[in-house]
Amino acid sequence: MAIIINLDVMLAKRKMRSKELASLIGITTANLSVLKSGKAKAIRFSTLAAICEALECQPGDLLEFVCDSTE
Amino acid sequence: MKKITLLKSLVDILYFLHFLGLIAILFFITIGIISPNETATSLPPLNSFHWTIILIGLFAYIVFMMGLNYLRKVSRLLATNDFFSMEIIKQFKNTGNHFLATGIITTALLLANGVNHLFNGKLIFSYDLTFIIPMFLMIIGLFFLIQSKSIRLAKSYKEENELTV
Repeated sequence: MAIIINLDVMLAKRKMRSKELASLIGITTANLSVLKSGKAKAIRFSTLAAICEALECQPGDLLEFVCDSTE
Repeated sequence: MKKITLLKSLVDILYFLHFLGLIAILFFITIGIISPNETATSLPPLNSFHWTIILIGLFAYIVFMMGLNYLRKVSRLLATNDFFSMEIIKQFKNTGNHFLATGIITTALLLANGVNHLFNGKLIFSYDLTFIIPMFLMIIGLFFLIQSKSIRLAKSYKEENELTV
């Protein structure tokens, strides 16, 4: 996938557990796990905003673009 | 759910009746217990063209029966309420292909018969329902193919929606 989610990195930096973040932003741990594992196909702006608010970071800290093609 | 049960029952009854009809056709014509030449005394003896038409017609009927069988499978799968399974998509596609093929073959047969009449100097223009059933079969076949594609799209949208956080 071209977009990589660095949520686990940010969680480690903030010393926060997934369960705690899930309860803070109001989504299930299963959904947060889908997001962390990179299986998610899309993320709502509201979810992204809630994560950024909870982790005190910018969307760019969470999302990273990596080119798939190997030349 | 009641509608699906009703659909399943109707398709089963239709399949059963057609299956009996197919057995009767195979029994009476192919085995030769009753020949069309003997029963239809008012008709002229059948030539090779007529036999070709009969055999292709029988083939079209078998294709229709296969399509109907696929429709039975679809109705059974629909009864399980799993609308977005790959099996339903596949069976809808099979049903559509078979009904469309039946419609095309039957239309071709009717056209061939019309051309034969033309060469024999018996061209008659009349309004009847001969072309209605093959046309309807083609429409239904195309509808099932489109339905299959719609469910495939819906399945991908559903998966995407489920993986949206």
